[in-house]
Amino acid sequence: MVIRTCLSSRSHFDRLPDTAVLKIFQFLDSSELCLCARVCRRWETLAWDPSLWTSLSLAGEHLSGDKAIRCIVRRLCSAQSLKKVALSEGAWMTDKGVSMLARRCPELTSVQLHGCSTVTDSALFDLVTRATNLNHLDLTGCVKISCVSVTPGPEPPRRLLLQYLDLTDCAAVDDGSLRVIVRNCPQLIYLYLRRCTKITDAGIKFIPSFCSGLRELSVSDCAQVTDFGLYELAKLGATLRYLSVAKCVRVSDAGLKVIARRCYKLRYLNARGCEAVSDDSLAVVARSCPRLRALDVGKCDVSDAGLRALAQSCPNLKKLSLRMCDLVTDRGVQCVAYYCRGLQQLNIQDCQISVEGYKAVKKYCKRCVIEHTNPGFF
Amino acid sequence: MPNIKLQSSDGEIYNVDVEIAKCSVTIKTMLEDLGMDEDEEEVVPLPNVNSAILKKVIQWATYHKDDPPPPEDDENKEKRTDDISSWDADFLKVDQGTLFELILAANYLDIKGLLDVTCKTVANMIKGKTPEEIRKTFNIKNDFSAAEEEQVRKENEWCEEK
Repeated sequence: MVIRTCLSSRSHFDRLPDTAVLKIFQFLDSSELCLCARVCRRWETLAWDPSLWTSLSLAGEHLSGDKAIRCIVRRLCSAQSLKKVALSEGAWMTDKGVSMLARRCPELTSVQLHGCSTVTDSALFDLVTRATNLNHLDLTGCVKISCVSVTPGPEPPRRLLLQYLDLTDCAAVDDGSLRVIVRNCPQLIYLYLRRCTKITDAGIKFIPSFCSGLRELSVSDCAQVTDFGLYELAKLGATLRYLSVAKCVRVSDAGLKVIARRCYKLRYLNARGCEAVSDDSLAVVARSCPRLRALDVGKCDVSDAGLRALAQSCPNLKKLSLRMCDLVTDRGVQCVAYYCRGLQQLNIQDCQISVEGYKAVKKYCKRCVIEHTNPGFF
Repeated sequence: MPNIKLQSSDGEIYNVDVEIAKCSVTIKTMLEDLGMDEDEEEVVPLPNVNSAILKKVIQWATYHKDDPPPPEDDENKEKRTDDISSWDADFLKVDQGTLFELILAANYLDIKGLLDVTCKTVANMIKGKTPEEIRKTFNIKNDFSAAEEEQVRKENEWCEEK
């Protein structure tokens, strides 16, 4: 495949067949491959073997995804091998790059465009329309994106196969576009809408009607969501395993109680900053969701009585945050420590916990990491 | 446990437990295809592996004989190189010539676990180096013309932080 020039002093690499060199190159990432391509002619040919280019990840300020994808398409002649593209930590792409992905990379299954703040709906629609195998889409911080849908065309509209969709910080998403999104993506299992602040109960209600298989949902910081939204989400029932309503300040006991009763297989629940949530719903969550592994009730109105109920019903609790729960005392924490011996993480920052409660956790939960703000504990 | 005899390119013969020898897919297939009777005192010639390397390979295979079978290559899996066990890392503290001989042997004998760990070791020697440092490390001659080198640099500069 490659003609080697005769060298005066030979490199050990000269003895390896191409397959073995490719095997070594398999363990290198895109930027390392680019450096290898500059070593010598043989390495240049091998570093650009399509089998090595199934995944492109760019992380770092100033890295241009547009340029990267243009160079890859040009050098590989096609970029059909590309299945995963991930941009993060300041690497960016514009509509130009996204359109090129759409046209040249039909086999994409996973796309992550963190913080690509100029990408618009039309480029994205083009991508999801053409990349028919796409199942993982992370648009965190793509502030211009308001919707995920197929480009209207002559053919009848097609449903997308997306299973994972992260729209964190896509503040342009509103109730109307959320309806289009969930209608188009009936296979969704993971949906994150953190800080999509325009969303209200009216949009939330479409989620269970179209995505009956949803297992994880976050609407944290969607401050317009209320108990009525939670009544709708409760229709997801036992499939729901993960729910975050953190800082949805209008959510109260009534909403959480319905969620707990209907979604009894919950393993993760985050109600941090929902100050209207009290012992009343904590007791129902505890009784209804014995599989609970992680619970955040930071700044909620819970006390020792609620913790006692929790500790007695949820023996598998691994993570618990009680940050800024003013009413919680040593007795509540002792109770949790005694019953939940598998606890791995406990946050008691800004709580009224003395060294007594701290010692109880140390005694019963050997592997527990305790986050606290009391300098006297050392 | 029955043994078989493996003969290196320079004529050394090693008596090896059949189960250990079979971690080499090449040997396993040979035994199955040729119907070599395990009771017979047959000698398997390995013309591509010298005795020093064969000894290392047998040492590796013996240590790893109870490992679960290596998982199939999954292209979705992150390609990690920082997961080399400390025994393997010690085992591979050898000169470059031996390391590459082991890759060739693992490739010829089709021993996935050994090929993986040796290739990872070489990949780690590449990581974090400039093209010039890579050439130096492996004694590779830069056979680009000046114009080619400039073109290749341009084609591959998109991944560099400015």
